[in-house]
Amino acid sequence: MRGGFRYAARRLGFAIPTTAAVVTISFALIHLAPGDPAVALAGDGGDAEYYAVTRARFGLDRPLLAQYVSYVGRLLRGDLGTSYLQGRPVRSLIAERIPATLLLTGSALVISTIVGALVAVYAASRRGRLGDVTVNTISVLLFATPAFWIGQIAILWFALRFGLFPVQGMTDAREVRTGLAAFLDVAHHLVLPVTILAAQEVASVARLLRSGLIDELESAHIIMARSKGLRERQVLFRHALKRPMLPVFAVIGGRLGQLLSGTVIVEILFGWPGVGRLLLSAMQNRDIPIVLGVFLMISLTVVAANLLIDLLSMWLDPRIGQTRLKR
Amino acid sequence: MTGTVSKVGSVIEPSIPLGREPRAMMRLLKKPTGVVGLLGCAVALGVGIGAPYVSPYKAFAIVAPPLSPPNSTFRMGSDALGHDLFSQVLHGARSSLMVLGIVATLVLLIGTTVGLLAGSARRWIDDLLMRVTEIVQIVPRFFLALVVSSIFGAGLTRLALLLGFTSWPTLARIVRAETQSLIERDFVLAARASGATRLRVLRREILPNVVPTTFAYLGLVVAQALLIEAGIGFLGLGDPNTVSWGQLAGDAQRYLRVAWWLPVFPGACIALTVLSLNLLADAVADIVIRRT
Repeated sequence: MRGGFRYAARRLGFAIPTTAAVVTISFALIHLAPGDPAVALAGDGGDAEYYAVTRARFGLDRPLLAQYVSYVGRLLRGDLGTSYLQGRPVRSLIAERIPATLLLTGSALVISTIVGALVAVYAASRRGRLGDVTVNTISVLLFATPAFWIGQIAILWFALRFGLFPVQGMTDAREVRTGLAAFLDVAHHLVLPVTILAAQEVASVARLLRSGLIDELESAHIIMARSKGLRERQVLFRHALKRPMLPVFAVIGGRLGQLLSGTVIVEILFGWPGVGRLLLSAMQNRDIPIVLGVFLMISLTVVAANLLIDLLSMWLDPRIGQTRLKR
Repeated sequence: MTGTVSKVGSVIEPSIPLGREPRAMMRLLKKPTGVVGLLGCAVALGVGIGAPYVSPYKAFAIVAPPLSPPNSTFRMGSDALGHDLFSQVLHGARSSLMVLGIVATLVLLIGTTVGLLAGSARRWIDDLLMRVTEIVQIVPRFFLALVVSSIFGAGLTRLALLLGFTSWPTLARIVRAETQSLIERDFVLAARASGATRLRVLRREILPNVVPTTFAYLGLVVAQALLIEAGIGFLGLGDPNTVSWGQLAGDAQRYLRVAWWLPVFPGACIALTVLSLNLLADAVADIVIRRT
């Protein structure tokens, strides 16, 4: 287990410079931006006095290093700055958008993992036959298609042509619902965005899992399980799926980054009131503190997810710490 | 360049085919995915280069009645301002091509250099380079691109450069792994024994053997970059002075209810180009990487 501890320490040691890099990038962006950083931080609508206050507040007249230190200090206290358009702390602006985004991204992550696993089992058990080829073709097509295009086509067909799903928003604005009705309303609004967000993820999970499964199905313990007379379903789900699932969890960090990018697009497409919409309106208004706040939050989420998954997969598969050290 | 490698390699280790595949092109054309991929990429390249000559109108010329559906004159219909969508789509290929060119060049240069260095240098240099690679890989590129376009303003070249400077890690890792396995081979030992310097070994023995693999992965990396560029354009943060497929799709969003052709064609072009790149990369990979 010593190797495991050392591996854990290594991963932890890696998360720190990565975090530092992300913070440094966002600090550098403020100062590399064309024009006065005070304008970048406080918007271009202010008067001279306002900029003077901003300069003093962010210490923009002090040496760069001192500014960096105080920037990091503010971030450590959870201060992401103030939106100059809304005059409110960026942290709370982002925080109130998180539930909607979490609902969308979280559902997509869970659904894509489950559906992806089912699809992979289906394809791997029909290796080389029509079902497998179809799954392969669809996932190749999905990989190549931009999320917004799938979304636009889906809106054209399912929402506008057949009127099956609402086009916009998270709730029906025409009437206020409570209890189960409210839940069903949100679920109804959630179907299209989540499907579109999950589609590409299903493809990548299925692809990753399928090749692992095919290898696994030829291994000795599967032959053993089969010769014990277990039913094929049990062989596939209870015995074969376990090990190939590990890499699927191992890439969750990367998938999260991918999913969150997709979330922004899908939120814009469907008018979903999450972080992505906040980000877009902030970008259109050049509300830099919000833009950087969202960037920091998302990057750090991805870093944290990667770290968590590294540690978790070490716990699930004790060999990980050992082999990496040997190299 | 390859001559030396093949000669040395074939003398010592005849079982391992080295150097450039002499009939790689023929083998590529024997695969359906290779043919489709190559054809798609060729069409995109041709349209991108030839757009000003073959397009019926200029990209920003107002020539059509607003929001007219596809017909014999305006083959893909027109937008709310009366631009001919077909001409715009043709011109949009140029933006994709530019992104493709810049990203591919930067990724090849940086990825190969970092990979070769990390794969052949001392342990601590390798560790350092891999740390940097991991950090670059972990930063979400789409969001970085969004932030940079909103702070520095929209610009196609800037976006392409940014994507190029952040998309190389995958390639670097692959080149590193290849280098590590090649450097132990007999033909490299032979070269070193005959007094070749480190740089010469890297350049003349390792590099030519790494190149085919890099090309296989380059297609995938560039395709991803194209999708990110399209996403940025879709969000309306693309360069206002150029036409791009992503932007066209984004502009279409407001007219979804009245003009189905506006979202359908630009998105299809992106999908087809990315698909061609993926298929081509896949076919190349099948040829150069011996899958067991």
